[in-house]
Amino acid sequence: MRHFFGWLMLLGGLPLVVNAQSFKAGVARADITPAPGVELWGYSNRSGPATGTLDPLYARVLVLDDGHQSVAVVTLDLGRSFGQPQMNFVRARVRQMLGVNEVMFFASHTHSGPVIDEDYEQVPEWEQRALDKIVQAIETARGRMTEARLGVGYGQAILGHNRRYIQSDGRVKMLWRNSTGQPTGVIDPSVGVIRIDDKRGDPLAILVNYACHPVVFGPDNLRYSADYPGAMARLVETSWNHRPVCFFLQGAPGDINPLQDKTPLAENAVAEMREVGETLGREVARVSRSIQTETPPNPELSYLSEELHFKNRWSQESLRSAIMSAYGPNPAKRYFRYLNDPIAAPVSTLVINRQIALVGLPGEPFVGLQLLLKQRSPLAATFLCGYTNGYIGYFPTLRDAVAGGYGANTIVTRVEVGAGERMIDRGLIHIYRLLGKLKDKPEQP
Amino acid sequence: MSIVRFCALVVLLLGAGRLDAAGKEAFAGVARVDVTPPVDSPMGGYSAREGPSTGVHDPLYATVLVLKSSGITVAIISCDLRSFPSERIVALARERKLADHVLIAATHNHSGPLTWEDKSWPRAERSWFDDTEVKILQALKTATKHMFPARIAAGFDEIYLGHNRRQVIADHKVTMLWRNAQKEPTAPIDPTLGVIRVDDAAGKPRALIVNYACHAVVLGPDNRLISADYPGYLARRIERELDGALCLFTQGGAGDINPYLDKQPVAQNGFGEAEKMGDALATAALSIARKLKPRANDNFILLAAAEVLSFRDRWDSQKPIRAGLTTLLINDQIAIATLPGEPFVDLQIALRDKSEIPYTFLFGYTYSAGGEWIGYLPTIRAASEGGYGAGYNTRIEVGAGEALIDRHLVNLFTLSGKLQTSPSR
Repeated sequence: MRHFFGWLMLLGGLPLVVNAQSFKAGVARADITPAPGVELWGYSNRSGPATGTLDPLYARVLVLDDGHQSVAVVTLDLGRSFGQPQMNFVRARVRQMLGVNEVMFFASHTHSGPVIDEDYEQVPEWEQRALDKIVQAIETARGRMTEARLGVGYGQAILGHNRRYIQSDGRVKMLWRNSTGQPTGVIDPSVGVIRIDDKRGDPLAILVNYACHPVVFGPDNLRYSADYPGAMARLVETSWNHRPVCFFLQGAPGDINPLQDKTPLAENAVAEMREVGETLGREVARVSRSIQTETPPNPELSYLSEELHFKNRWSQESLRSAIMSAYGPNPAKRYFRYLNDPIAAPVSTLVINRQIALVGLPGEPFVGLQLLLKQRSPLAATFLCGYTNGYIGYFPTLRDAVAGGYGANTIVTRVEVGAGERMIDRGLIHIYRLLGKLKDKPEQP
Repeated sequence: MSIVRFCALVVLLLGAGRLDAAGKEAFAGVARVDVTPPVDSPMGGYSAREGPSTGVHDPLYATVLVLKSSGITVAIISCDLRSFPSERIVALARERKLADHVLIAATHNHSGPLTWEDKSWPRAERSWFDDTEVKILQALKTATKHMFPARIAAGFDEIYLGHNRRQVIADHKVTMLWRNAQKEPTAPIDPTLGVIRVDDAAGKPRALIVNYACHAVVLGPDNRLISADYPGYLARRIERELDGALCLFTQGGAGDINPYLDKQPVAQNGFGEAEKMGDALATAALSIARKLKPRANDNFILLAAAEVLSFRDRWDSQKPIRAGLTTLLINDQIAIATLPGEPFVDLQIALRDKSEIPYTFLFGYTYSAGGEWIGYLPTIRAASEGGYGAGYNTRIEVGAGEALIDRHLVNLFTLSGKLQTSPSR
């Protein structure tokens, strides 16, 4: 018997109806850049481990509180979110120490960060230090909490292209780099911006949702960098005198690359990365200025996280031999986790003030899934966030699994065909439940 | 939701591969059996009906079409009943090597007997339900004994005979529009009328499957005469005009679709209105059928996937509900996807949109493979809105409809060889 959907893991506060409380927010930031020498994430063809730092990798923390419970949103300049035991370590600490009920971890998917595994015999030193710093940053942010205002706005930016180019015969050709900006396939140019102000109307936090792989740097870069989301955040943060913290919530870029994919260092990749980030940053700055924030009259944070279980898409033999042929005769231990069957998939949804939904998936959803969720959600401000609360590879749509290409029928896709749609369905069900529109008990007519 | 695949058949049939399946001709067989219950027995469909049946207006049939090719045999059985989930028929048909896959499609007729909900009548030790199972198995055997070389073709047209009975009004509320005599426009609906024509080698039609999504409820609770409602009239008319052919009506995603003249009282020409609807549908179906030209095909490919998935009860997450489904693919041209409950029409539309098979049919109200009757299948959105079939009277978890449709799509992509079976680098 295989469990396709698991049980609800957590039912963090279905909203209570009580006297209106104030909506509070606090922010903090921690530098989690490892020392040189750590293996880098994202490309298997690098010449060696990290040699230094181009720009620091941050964990940014936003603690929200509705008077009944508090949730920490943690965005990471990392290739993936931490493994479950490591995230649970942070969650347990802040729940116990600070009474923070939930922590959601969002990774930007930068390819110029350290490798992270799901589990270890011994957590690497840099990673344990990062986890400790995140606990501290949550404490700091909670200590700084102040009455807050909230607003949402939208912009547009075309930084990326669909890297799976479907040719006239229906076959997929990977078009990694597309510096001429040739139209390829479906993208989502929308830039979602959530602005959180203090009582006076000065921004504390600006959250940005956009779907594009942070891979302006290629495998020749051996220095830590947050890639374009880091440059975006710097521009946005410095565009306001009040220096808000800018959080990047990566969308569903499983098939979306920047036009300037893997720009070689020799071709001025650093300037290129900044230009991509600042292009997005200017749009975010513009949109953030247009947002009119409001004091939520009835603040309400509601959160639901559920562990689904999917079958592995491939037979053990075919996957094992593909791993050997891709990563050599002695692949790193983490590659053997690809063989897991069934595969646990946490899907988590945060609804803020019955207005904004963040649906987090533990991997790399194709952009079609983001469009599907936005189309079906009852909340206009619905953002699909990949690389959230875990990492189990790529999530193509059903149609994309048929067409093939990288992430659609390769070793980086492990969950069964249809898993992406199932997770979107669950995210949608979460939103309806958190809005009180799907009840647990039947109502007789 | 957990998924249980206990049909080794799935693996076997998928694994047998398209190459092995190709290069064969197809055979078909048909049979029919009367399953009319005795008078004075309990009727199903309306809680408002007072008392048992008082007579028979027109008989109820189970009509069997068997298709055999590529080493597998599939039986499609249309019955003039509300639902007929019989694990016994599925199991015995396999055991007796009559058919690998049995699809028991109910027309969702509301003027027939209580079926699986009460197997105690007329006698607990020998019920109408048990008798009917035996009769259907006999008819299945008859059909397999008289097989003929067959040719198959499918066609579509549109006809507007039903409306969406759930009206979503402002603020996410639903009111029920059971009857719509004025034919006000409603949404969503799917006017698609699908036909599958099965001929013998002489080009003579022997079976006509007619698929349309609309509750068989022209007759209401005031009617206590056994009748097949509009699908009965439809079948009789088609069989009169296509002499020698049997008509099998199958429901589509009719979970939220009613006929305009819902529950037409008998005293106000109820049977006449059921006949009008059956006639209108028959005229359109015959017009499709007459344009079809089933051709001889010695490269016939019949493929099937069957599985039983396990979901949770919507109101009790500890309680599993098992849902059996079968996906058929005929010559990469015709797809049949079954669901053992009452799918909302949006699910039928989604399946057809995405299947990539020119003639894709959703057979709702169709039991196959195993498991149980799963009741209404609203979409997630409809479940959030409520209304009849979306709220208290559903039993399977929200999202099951979408998950089942997606399983059919995965099965179709797999059967049609579109999904790679080992990973690329």
